[in-house]
Amino acid sequence: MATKQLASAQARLNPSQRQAAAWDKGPLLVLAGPGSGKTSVLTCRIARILDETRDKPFRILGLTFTNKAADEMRTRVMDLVPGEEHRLFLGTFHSFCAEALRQHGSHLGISPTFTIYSQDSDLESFLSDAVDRLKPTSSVVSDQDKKLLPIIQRLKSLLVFPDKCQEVIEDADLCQRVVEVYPAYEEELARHNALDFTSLILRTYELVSKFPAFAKRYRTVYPYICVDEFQDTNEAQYSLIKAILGQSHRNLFIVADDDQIIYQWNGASHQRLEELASDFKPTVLQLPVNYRCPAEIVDLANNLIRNNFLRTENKAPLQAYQGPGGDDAVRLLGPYEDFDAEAASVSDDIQQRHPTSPGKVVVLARNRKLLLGVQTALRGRGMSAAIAQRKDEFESAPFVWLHGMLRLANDRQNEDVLEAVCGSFRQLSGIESDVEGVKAQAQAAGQDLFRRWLKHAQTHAAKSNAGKVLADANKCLGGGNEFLRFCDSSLAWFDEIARPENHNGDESNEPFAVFSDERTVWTDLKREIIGTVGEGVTLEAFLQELQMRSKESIPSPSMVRLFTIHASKGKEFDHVYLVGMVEDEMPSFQAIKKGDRSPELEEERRNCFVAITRTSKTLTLSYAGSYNGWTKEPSRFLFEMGVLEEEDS
Amino acid sequence: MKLREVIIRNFRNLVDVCIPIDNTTILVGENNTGKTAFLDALTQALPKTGYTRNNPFDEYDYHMAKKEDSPRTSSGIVIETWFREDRSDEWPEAIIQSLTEIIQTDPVRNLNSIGLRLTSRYDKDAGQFVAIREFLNTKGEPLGGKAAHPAIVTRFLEYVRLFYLSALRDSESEFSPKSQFWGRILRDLKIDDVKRKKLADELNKLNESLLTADPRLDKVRTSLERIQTVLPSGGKTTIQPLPLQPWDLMVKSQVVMRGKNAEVDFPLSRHGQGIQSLAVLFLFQAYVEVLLKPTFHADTEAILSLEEPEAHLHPQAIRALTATINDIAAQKIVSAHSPYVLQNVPITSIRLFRRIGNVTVVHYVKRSFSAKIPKVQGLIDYCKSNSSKYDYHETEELLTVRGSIDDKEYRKILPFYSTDKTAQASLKQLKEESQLYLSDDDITDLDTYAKRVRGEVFFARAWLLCEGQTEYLLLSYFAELLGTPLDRFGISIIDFQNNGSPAAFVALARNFNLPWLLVCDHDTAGLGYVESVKKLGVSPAEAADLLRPLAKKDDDLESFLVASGFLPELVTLLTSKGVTIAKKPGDSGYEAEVAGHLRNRKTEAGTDLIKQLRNAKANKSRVPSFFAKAIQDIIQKAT
Repeated sequence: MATKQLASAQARLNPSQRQAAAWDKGPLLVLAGPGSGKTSVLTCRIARILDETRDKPFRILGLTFTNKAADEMRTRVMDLVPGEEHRLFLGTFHSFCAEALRQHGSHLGISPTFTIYSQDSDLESFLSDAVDRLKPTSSVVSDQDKKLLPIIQRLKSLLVFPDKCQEVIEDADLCQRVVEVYPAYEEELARHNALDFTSLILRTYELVSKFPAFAKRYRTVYPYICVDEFQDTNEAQYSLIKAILGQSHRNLFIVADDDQIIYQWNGASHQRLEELASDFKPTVLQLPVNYRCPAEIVDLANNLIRNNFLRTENKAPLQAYQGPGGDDAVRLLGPYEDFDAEAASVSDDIQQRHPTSPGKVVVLARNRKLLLGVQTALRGRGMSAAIAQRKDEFESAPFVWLHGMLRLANDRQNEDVLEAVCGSFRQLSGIESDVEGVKAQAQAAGQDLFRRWLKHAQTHAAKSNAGKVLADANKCLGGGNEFLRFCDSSLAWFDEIARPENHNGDESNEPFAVFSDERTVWTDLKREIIGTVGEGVTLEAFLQELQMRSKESIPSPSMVRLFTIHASKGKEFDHVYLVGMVEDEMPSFQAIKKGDRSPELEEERRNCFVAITRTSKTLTLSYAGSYNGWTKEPSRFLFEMGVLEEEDS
Repeated sequence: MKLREVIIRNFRNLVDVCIPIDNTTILVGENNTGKTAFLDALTQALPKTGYTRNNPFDEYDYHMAKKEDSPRTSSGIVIETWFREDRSDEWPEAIIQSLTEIIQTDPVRNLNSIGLRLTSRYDKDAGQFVAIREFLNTKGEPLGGKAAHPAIVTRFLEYVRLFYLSALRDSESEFSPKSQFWGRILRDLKIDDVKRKKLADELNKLNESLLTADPRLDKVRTSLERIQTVLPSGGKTTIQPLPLQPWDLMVKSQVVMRGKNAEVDFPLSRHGQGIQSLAVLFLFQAYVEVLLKPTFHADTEAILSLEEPEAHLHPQAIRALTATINDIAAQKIVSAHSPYVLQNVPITSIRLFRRIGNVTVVHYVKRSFSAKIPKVQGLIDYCKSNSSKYDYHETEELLTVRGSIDDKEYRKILPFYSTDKTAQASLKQLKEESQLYLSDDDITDLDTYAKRVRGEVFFARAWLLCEGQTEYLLLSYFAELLGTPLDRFGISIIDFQNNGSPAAFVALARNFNLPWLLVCDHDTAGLGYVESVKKLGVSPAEAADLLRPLAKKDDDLESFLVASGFLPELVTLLTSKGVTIAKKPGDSGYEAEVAGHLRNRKTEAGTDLIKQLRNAKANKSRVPSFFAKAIQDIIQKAT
């Protein structure tokens, strides 16, 4: 018996959505256009299977590309079939791999307490250390090899292990250097018990391919595997899926749109769908109905994308569910004299048209530089505007301290983290820690930095309001999942010292500048991580998941947001402004260089396709005659969409 | 899912024991050696209902070595239960799916395992005793994440159900509606609605006719009806001799049996203890067959921990019972005091509990030996090409050998660690330990001969090994003469010639860590025995102390007796049997001839000699010093 929620969710599906949601076994490819309700299809199908098999212990694996998508789907499924959460792993490829390596990584010599490094600057410093280590003994390695990170990352995303790079690198000189640097970099990561994002996938692939027992284990536990946004999988991710599925297991449910591939540079490729077709021979279902955009925009999208050659044959054009959106649905602003004028006019337009609800407006552009221009113009008009981007670290002193404490408890000899803890503790309590003293004493006493610092802080802060939180740190950061209690205790302390009467009328109260935003982010992240990893989450798993997630806060409704097209993927907005619609920006200079029928140019077209289909109410396109002093022609896409007419020359 | 190992620390006398578990495991040992403690520990480790924060232990459960110890200072009780696959893909798919968070995999041998640890200790911060259940990785470290969620303990326990039947199997309580098996069986009975209504109608009719059978009943009823005047409920008061619901009636069901040659059925509780005890066991079997899987999962398995199944039963019944226990579809852990129980179980399933001071040690026949040895490719390759005997676990860096490491193998392995002194020492120790290995043939022999005839030897504190029956009779008589009968010291005499080989018994004694001593002839056969035992890795000092051929070269028992002052009795014996001795006393070779005649009448000679000595009220001065010393020494080793 389906729950009421599930029954009504199913009732809301259209016939082709329903057909997809009712799919039981065997390979299926759902070609889902933008705004076609694919999330509903995925969640309904997962919920239906769980609901029909409540007495069965098997589980469903759902892999996504973003934590947000995974969290949204998990919440929906839990709402549709309460009580079956434990039979579901819905998470990103990276979360799934981190879990697999925590559980079984010891067979590859990976300790479950590994740290995930997501920032290139950290990885570059590992690489730099590796190169420094090699230089004295190597005849080919030099400082210039400290720039090899992108190549190493690329090799890893192609599943090329260090012993196999000779087979793929054609340039003999480069190859010679990579052959030495790549393994040294991996060794450096291993020395620090560290993994980068590409290692998560690569090592999990190694685990299941070296030990078929684990591949078998995963397909036994997860007889149903679903992949969202499949078009974005790179070689490594797809190979991992195939390795898990083995030769005979074919229960694969794929949701993809080859018109939305915009991660070609990261190894995504339209060929992936062709590979899928030949590897699994899936049944194909199309979801062409677009629920999101006004009919006018659907027309533009169809006009545009039909110019691409590298796409699924017989791909049905999008069908508008909404009627026409009226005169404002699509507008073209320009041509302006130059980009400054364009940015100014776009800003004026936003200010005039959306004076009360700037939060419903977004500005999209092919690159970040264009966004910066518009942001400046918006701010110049007194409007609040921010470029959305991943935030890797907390910024407010309270959360720098809390995150630091957790990291130091997990990695007790890390001097960098110790410094962050000392600095933020001074900001919060006014108590200075003697960093060098702590290090020296720890070494003399054979103690770890965490214990030593805590002792040091307790001695100096015994009478301050930090007394309790330090005592709790002492009690809760020993092991197990008690650390969550320490987190609660810290939050209580932060709340107390954040109260205005407790910072002596200092209005700015610098350490707490973004505290309340980050407090919300913290609470959300904690809930999401427990949802992914489980209530018994260990400190190491918590930190690993935290590292994989962005710490950016929920935008304020009074702020205009600016996104690169890549960052806007999977989202929808009421009012979209797409700026810089000229040749060399959109499509990009590099793509144009590759030729009109190059895969790169097609990717640009898909970028435009993705951008305009984010719109649920109005789309405003704009362009100018010159950028950075260079004259530019209107984008070919404007003509293809039919927004501009070709002039007969 | 089979339980394959139990590790217990600081629980009563079980300070540090690690016990492998077979499909049927028999715990033997004297009283108060910790067998019941072991079963109790298991009951706590695998409770019926999953997650509880309550500490299941009381203050006397924490091992305390010294007077000043207290449960609060105890390092805490630890009980680990390990479930392991014996072969790849043994565990059903549903278990893998349901418990994947906690299943550890050896990816090379392709074997799965689950380890669950119950820890209880005093938590100073909380100011109370706390008990924690955690699943473990193969290194014994607790698992985090989803594996640490309390719900998974409950989920796991639905697949493994432990049932404990104590020595006191009281049929009255085991057959009550609230009991663990009978109650469940009754409650699970399904009667369809039509049938139930029909039964209820019939019960109603029966009630009415019972009420009218004696008019006084109705008077009582009328009187009770006055309750309504005080507390009006609007209903009618009736008396129901029989409950109206079939289920209420069913819970009052009882099992009745008719005895042999009797005419009346008696309720079970009126039968003897033996029958009652048996009935409870069969009830458990019925429960496992009928209800276990429907109640839990198709793949749920039962573990039966059973105390003294032999209580109140006669020997033949015990042997029959052992066969029955084997048939129960469950893993069985049985504590027993009866040699008869041991007669039908393999020797490898015996776990011998012994108490040293206030600490229990447990011994058993080891079928494999392991040691931590660092990973080197040479060893990995060696193990791969000798995989029937050697196994190397790369992740745990554990070398396991199923057999004894011989010198040739040792010389091949040792060079892999030419510079690693620690590894060399570990290997040496492993080689020595592995000499205890009993081959399959040894075990078959011991199973066939020793155990069937002499299950009691497993309850002994020490073994005195001798060649044949004559030695057996003489040794026990001499001990009596010395005023130290061997039974009093828990010493078993084992005549190995008829029951297998001496080496097998010595190996067994060493496996069980039982003190032993061997006496034999000083002839070719006897020296052969000595050599076969020395090969087990017995040190020269031990060999000199424990292997005792008769003093003089070429001595056998007969010539030894002739030379040890028993000539008159032996001649009398031969004469009474009509044997003519050709030589005269004093002639050269006279003694040798007597001994020769005796060799043809071995057993007779022993019994007759003892008879003559008894009649003559012989005293301890007649005991030859060789035997007196052997007897004194083994007594000393046993106590």
